[in-house]
Amino acid sequence: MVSSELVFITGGVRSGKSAYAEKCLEGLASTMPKKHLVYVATGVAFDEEMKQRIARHQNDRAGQQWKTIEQSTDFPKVLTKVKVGDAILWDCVTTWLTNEFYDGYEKGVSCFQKEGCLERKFIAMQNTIRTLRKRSIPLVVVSNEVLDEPLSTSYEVSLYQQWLGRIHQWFVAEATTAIEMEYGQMHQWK
Amino acid sequence: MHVFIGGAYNGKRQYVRSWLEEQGKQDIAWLEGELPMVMPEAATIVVAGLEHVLADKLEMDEDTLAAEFIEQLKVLDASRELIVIVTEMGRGIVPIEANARKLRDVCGRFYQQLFKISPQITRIWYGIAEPIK
Repeated sequence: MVSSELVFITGGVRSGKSAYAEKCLEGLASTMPKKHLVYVATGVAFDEEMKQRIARHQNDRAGQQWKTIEQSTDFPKVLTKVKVGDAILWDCVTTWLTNEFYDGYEKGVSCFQKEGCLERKFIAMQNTIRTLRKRSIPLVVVSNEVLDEPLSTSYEVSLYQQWLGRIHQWFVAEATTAIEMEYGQMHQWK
Repeated sequence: MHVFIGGAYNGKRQYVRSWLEEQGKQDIAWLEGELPMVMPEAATIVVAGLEHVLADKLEMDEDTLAAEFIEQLKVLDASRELIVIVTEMGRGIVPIEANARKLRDVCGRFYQQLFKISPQITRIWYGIAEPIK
């Protein structure tokens, strides 16, 4: 069976990538007989600014046929919450990676400090994406461009950058379309 | 000369390695974090990670430093096939640390001159190549 479309979009902060991603998913879903647009949100509202940020994104999607799934960690759970006929927008990989990076922090050990922990989460995420695509569920995945600056001297941050680069490379290889957004200007690499 | 540029962890080295392999190139001297001052004995020279070399010389004036590196690369390019891999670092947030800011400036200055003299420049974005010159 042919896998569904996978569109991968990266860009800087406020580059217009979320708005573009939403349009893109609506476009992909327009040919589907029964379309349900599903937004997989990763953000955790830990402060006032974050609450406003989330509210702004929700407001942008209001009035349209969007269903929101809150999935800050444990991406495979998405599989139990969607069905054939859905189209998914996952926004965004950077926040998801941050959440997974520090998963377990409250119990004293974060995932990035545990041998093989991030590796397992990455593989589970890859398998989930592949399963969704086999179920003919189109996907638009959004991430941030944070690797065009000097690498951090902090071990934690540079490890994060290394993982993000690896994940982005995987998405670009796997995607049917890969786009870089720069302040509203899109560049289609694939 | 052929310059490859891209952000960190974008798969630049892996791309160049398979690109050289596809062309059947085997006589290669791959130099990591080093600007060779003695001509390496190989038909093809790959110079990667020059930002680390620049980071050790931040006390120098940025124009003098860039000019010095460019001159040496020209010498290498004159008698060998030269490939230079550099890391993009000027498109993020202004770093809080003075040395990181200086490195960004120095690299920017150096890359501008490098782009001027190199007839071929390719940008790598997560494993995908795009010729920009």
